Amino acid sequence: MAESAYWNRFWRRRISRRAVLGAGAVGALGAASAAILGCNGGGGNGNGNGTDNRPDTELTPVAGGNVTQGRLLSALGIDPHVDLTGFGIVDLMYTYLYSWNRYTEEAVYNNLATNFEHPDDLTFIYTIRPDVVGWPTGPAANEPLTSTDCVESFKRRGTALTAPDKRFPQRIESYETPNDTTFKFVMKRKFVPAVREMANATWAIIPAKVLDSYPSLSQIAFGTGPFMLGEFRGSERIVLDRHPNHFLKPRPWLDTYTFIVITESSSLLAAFRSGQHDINGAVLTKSTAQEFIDADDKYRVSQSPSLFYPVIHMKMRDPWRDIRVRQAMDLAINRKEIIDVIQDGEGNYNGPIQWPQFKWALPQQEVRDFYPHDPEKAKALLKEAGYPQITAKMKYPEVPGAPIVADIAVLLKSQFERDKVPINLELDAVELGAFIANVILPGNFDLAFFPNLPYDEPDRPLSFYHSKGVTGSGNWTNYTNRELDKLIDAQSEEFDETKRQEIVLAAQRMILPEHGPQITLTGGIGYFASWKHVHFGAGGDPLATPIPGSDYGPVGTDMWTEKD
Amino acid sequence: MAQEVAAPLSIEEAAPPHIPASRRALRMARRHPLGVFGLLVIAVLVSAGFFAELMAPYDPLSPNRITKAFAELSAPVDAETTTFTVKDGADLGYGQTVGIESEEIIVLNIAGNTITVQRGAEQTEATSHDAGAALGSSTVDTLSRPSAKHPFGTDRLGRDVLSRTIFGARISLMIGMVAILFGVTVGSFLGVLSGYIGRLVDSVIQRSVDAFLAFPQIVLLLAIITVIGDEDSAVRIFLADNTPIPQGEFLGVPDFLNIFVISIGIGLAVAAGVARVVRGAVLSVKENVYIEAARAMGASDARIMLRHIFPNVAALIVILASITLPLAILAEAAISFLGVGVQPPVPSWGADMTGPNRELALSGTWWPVFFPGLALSLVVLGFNMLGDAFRDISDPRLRGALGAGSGRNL
Amino acid sequence: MRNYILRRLLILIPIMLGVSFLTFAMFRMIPGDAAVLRCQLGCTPEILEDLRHEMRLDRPWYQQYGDWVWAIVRHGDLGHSLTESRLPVTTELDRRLPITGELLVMTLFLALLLGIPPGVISAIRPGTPLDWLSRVGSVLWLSIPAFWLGILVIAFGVSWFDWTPPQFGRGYVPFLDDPWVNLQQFFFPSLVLALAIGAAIMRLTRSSLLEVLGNDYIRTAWSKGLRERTVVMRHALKNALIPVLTIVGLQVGALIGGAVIIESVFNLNGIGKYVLEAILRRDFFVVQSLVLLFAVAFVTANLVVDILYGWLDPRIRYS
Repeated sequence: MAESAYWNRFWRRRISRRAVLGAGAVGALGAASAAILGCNGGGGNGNGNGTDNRPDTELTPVAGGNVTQGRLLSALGIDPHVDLTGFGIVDLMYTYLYSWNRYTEEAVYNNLATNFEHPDDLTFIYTIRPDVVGWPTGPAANEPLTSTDCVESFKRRGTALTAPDKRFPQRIESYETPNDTTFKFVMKRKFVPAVREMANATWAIIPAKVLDSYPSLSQIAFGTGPFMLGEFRGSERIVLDRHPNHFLKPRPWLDTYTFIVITESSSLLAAFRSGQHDINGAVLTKSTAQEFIDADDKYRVSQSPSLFYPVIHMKMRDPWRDIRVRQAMDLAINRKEIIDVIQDGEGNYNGPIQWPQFKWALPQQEVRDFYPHDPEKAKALLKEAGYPQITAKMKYPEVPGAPIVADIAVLLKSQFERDKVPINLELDAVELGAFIANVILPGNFDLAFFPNLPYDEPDRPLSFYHSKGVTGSGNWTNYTNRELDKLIDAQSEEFDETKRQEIVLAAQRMILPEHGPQITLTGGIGYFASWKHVHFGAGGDPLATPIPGSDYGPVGTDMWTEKD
Repeated sequence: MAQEVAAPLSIEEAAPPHIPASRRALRMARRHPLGVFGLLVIAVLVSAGFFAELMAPYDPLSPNRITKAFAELSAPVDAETTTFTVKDGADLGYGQTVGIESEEIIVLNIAGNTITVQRGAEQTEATSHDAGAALGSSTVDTLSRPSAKHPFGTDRLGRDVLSRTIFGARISLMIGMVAILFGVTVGSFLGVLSGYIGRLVDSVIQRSVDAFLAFPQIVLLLAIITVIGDEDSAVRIFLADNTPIPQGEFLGVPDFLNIFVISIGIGLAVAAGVARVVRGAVLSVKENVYIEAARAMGASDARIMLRHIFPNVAALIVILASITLPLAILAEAAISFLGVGVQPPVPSWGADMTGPNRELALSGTWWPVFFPGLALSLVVLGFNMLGDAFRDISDPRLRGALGAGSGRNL
Repeated sequence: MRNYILRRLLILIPIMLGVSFLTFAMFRMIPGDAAVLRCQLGCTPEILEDLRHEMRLDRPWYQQYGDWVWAIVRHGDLGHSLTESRLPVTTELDRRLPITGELLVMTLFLALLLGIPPGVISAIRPGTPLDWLSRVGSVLWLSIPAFWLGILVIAFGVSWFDWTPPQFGRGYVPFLDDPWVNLQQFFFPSLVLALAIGAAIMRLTRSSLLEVLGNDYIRTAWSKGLRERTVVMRHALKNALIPVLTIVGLQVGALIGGAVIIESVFNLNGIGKYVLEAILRRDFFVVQSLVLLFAVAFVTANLVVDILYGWLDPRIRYS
């Protein structure tokens, strides 16, 4: 069965009411069970049911108009190499080597690079298009991007003081630009995650002339992407104008792309409902999204697995050093109830690698079998380990306006109390900045609830188990497992995907019986709502596997609106 | 012209009639119904503060669980059956564990109305069920509307909103009282010192007070809380190490030390205003003759401050405390609402009015946001009405009808 | 009068200094390393050292204080955000000042409108049901927290009328660009804020007017046979409103505090919201400068009120 076709239908599907009621593949048990269900299984209810229209691939885009997207985060700065609050905007203004299809986890060469050669694991050679020209304004007006621009951008990204995660650029040995359209670099050490990383929003290719003229691009932009910076008021409104000479002319279809910043989620929702903007912009829970799903003549709702998954870190000292205690904790947690209460009944269990990463995660059934809910056994284990009663301080960060971490912590505590498991969780809320600086980084905790961010590469989630840790300067839980370290290092250097999968699965199977140093919980489903007159192209997802005969561009180029 | 002169009254006749205190109180109550209302509200608040465990039907922090029935069997099943048919398959999901009575089953697949399941892991007894038996599972009772079981409904985690409101009263009262106790004490002390001693001490204290009072209250409060509220702040460490204030749960209040620190923060903001007012009063008391006399008799400054100045401003201090208590409660609600004060899951009225509860209010789930706010409004209203009643009783000019009025009543 | 003003102005300087120092001290007391907040999970000792140097945290505290004050006084430079963008505070202030300004002006206007007429009526018709209604109403509006009211307004607007305040989707529309939309954007936020202040004004107007009406010169006016309107409006009200002015001055602090809350509820991108967001993301340099700004504004407003008071009250004017 064509797996990608199944995934195309699962991911980012438009939902009709019947599909949700029919409890479609939303609760699917992952790749393995997807095979059991078959392509025509319960997951098929979505397409073509109800009052639905033809898929976007059958419609003809209309040029012109504006789309307004809501944003929860103020965009304090839009320098792609350093500003983390500019995501969503910088990807529209700048050009990248290639795009990334999150669902098939493959590079899509629809941007600057047309070809990729990989003669050996350390050498990367990209052939780039000659016709990616800059905006009509700025130091590099109307000039095409060259390989030199690539080199300068990479260098800047790799050396900027506060640029995130520099493991990849630090392993680059040398750059070469044999001609304007060939960009080559050689690495010192193999590093597979680089492939995914070069497609993320922080790796923008910026014209060297712009970099020379403007040391900081936080409040200004001169790029080559489909949209140009028009109006920029980061905490309020950002207006992007169409780049008239984008290499995918006549795209982008939209004349303007507007972002409106509403920092409070209920206000954002209210504005969306009354039609003040076209794309909601925040991830919704099922209960909040239900009204939009029900009104499927007005709204388009798509769903996507939430890549946000909190984990509980355990410091490897008494009592958590005893594996029986760790196992007891795992047994005492009722993961199904977390899915029911926190994730609106839709979700799956997470292993060391979260379940939506189908390529790398353990089969869902295996994970479910490994984490039964058995408070009696937990009590027995604790007794056996000699801890008739444990009081554990669990620190978690306060994220104002988004108490999902607090909610899960409360639920866990109540589960232990209800089942009379003798682990007394003392919840200790710490402000987010202080949490990172004073709790996590110095390893100052017994139990710490860490809200993990989306990763779609297996390397990062696994690095939490590495003795060097995520920052490279040590694992803040003090966990060390040399065998595991070897596996984790090996997968980061294995370019062959099948082999890498084997290593990753093996690593996870080594981690599971350890019941630590992280307790992984569950991951849910997020809903995205937009008004029906906005079309994203490509069946609802701009980055879906290109349908033969069509040619989908980078983010934003294929969007169009029926409204003027 | 000669007026009739009434015969002089005897002492007993001239004395005003003795009305028992209770009847006097009743008469006052009838004349000031709003004040009575205020008193009642405050009484409820105080009892909620002290007797929250008794008054609240549920624990404010625990999700409540119920068994939800989702569907009914449409045909009987026995021990061998692994595929059921139900009348209405809504809401059943893959991997979900449901039960028929006490038997656990895991849903493996749903196609139309046919559900493929895996019956309990260790099945000791084969059980059969008739058609019509309910499939259900124990689940958390989230977002249920106000009902007899939960008069104020439940929130997104299944917590009873009435219980949260009642315990929220305890938090508000606790924070308010600690804040006022601390603030008024510190403020009065500084005010008396500053007013009585004068000179350099007065200047220094007054300039500091001026600086504090130069900030708008909320802004000052936000700044103070940001500074002292941090996990590693000097204040917190001091309190944690040197005082017996518990850090975890205490008196049904989780994270007690944090609450205490917030109260201190609010108290600091209050102290400045109190210091200024008390200083003014001390300045006028200072002029009294008996102060001079005491000094002439050789009383030390400290003794004079304690025995003479302080009792004279005590009444003012009590009034100040009663005025600022509702303000402190409001201040806590405001900063918790903004995300800076009390944090979830602690049941604070302010914190419960924001976050996901606000989002839910937009789609019809009004009760988690409405009731805490109502309680807060009632409390402040009660204090204000009581204060009004007191003022009416003590200052007849403001009553209008009985006072000088518009001047028409000459 | 001139001495009065001069004295007031002179006191301003030490107060400003004191406020700036207090602000600075408060924010230096915040535990935690401001540099760590910038690199978070990516912190290494070298990066931290570079950052601390860039943020000038490696200098002694008095030098940091001096630098800060000097920058403000000499260049009007209020510093910049701690985040990567290093967005200057003055840039954001330029954008946000009109918004908070309009909110405060409208709120004051509505508060006076809502407070003075009922207060006057209440005072000249004491004991009547109208009086009772005003008094109960004022206590009510004084007690209901503005943020709760604001949330309810939005929730009901959305659920029952499908209406959302236009600033949610549009950003600020200046008055000159589109007066109708602009008024829509500011009406409800101002109203919600104005209710409590209006209630306080109402009560004070009432009690102040009652007191004035009991005075001898009013009795003289009555005895001259003047109509009620003349007595009240021309003679009594002017004097009765003087304490009201004081209250308005005192309420400026409450106004600014209320602005912080209401701006966040109604999504108005004013200075109040700026301060709040900066606090929530631990952007301390911004908070420091803004808190100072608030204090300066507050002190100045009080000064203006004091001067106005002195001008209006003949006893002070001619002293």
